[in-house]
Amino acid sequence: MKYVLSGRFGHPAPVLLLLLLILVTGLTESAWAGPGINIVVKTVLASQDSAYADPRLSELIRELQSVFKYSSYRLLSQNRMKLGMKETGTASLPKNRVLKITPIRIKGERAELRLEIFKKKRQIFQTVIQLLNRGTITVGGPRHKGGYLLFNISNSF
Amino acid sequence: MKKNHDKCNPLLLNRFFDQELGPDEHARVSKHLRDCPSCQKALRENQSLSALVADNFEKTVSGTRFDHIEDNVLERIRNDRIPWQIKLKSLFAPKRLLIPAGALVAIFILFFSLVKSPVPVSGPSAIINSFTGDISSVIIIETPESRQTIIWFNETADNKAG
Repeated sequence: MKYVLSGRFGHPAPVLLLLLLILVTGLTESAWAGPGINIVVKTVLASQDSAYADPRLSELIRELQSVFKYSSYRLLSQNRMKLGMKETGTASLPKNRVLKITPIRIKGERAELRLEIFKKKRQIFQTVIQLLNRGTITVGGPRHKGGYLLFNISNSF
Repeated sequence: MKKNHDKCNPLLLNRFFDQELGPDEHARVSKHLRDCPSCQKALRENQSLSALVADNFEKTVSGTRFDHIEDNVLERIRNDRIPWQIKLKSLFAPKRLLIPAGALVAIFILFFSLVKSPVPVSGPSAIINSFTGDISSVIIIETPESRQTIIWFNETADNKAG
């Protein structure tokens, strides 16, 4: 064993140390990613004025087409944030709208999030959801440029 | 003769028989042989034994069919197909590969046993706990394929105007 593992290093210890480092690094990145929640907000304009499918939205479009009849889906903006518990992140939306996201807690495979949409300083709505890890929710409805705005929110923790 | 008999040297006699002696030694041993019956006898025995071996060797060689032996060897080589187990074994024979490969497999097993793979959870992507707002209507939809939750709301006239 010593003959094999030693190789160029001359001693098995460096090789074993390297393997251990790889193992620990892998574990750190995947299992112990820390107490933050990664959130991505995609602002999408859905309309029927043309036929267009943004390639960056291919998965989302496939889902939306099963319930909506829009022919065009355009990605207007994308916001990424990493939030701790009770920490509020903000994503600017068209027409002076703001989306505020606050993680409340993690319960099993779901994160409890508070979503608020403001128009200027006036709150339009507030909802508390339990979102699956690596799951998405789409909030839509505001009219914009002949179509409708959709806010696709995904999280991972 | 008696005088020379004391000088009998079997090793020297063997070298004499094998013609390995120099001229002086050869002459001396020849002279000794003329007077020494025991060395003469020993030399005769050597000669007869040598002649016997040479004769048998000649007979054996002359009776051997080398072409037949060659044919047999080639035939055996053709027939001796290497079994697939041996081929497989020879493929993995370098032991310097086996242990690192084993170590890697062990690490992968350890890694995947420690890291929990995401457990598939049934149900919609999002569960709505509460919803309040200054809106005229709201619809909660679930896509049929992957059960993604969609909240669709209609703003009030005030909000639309703003």
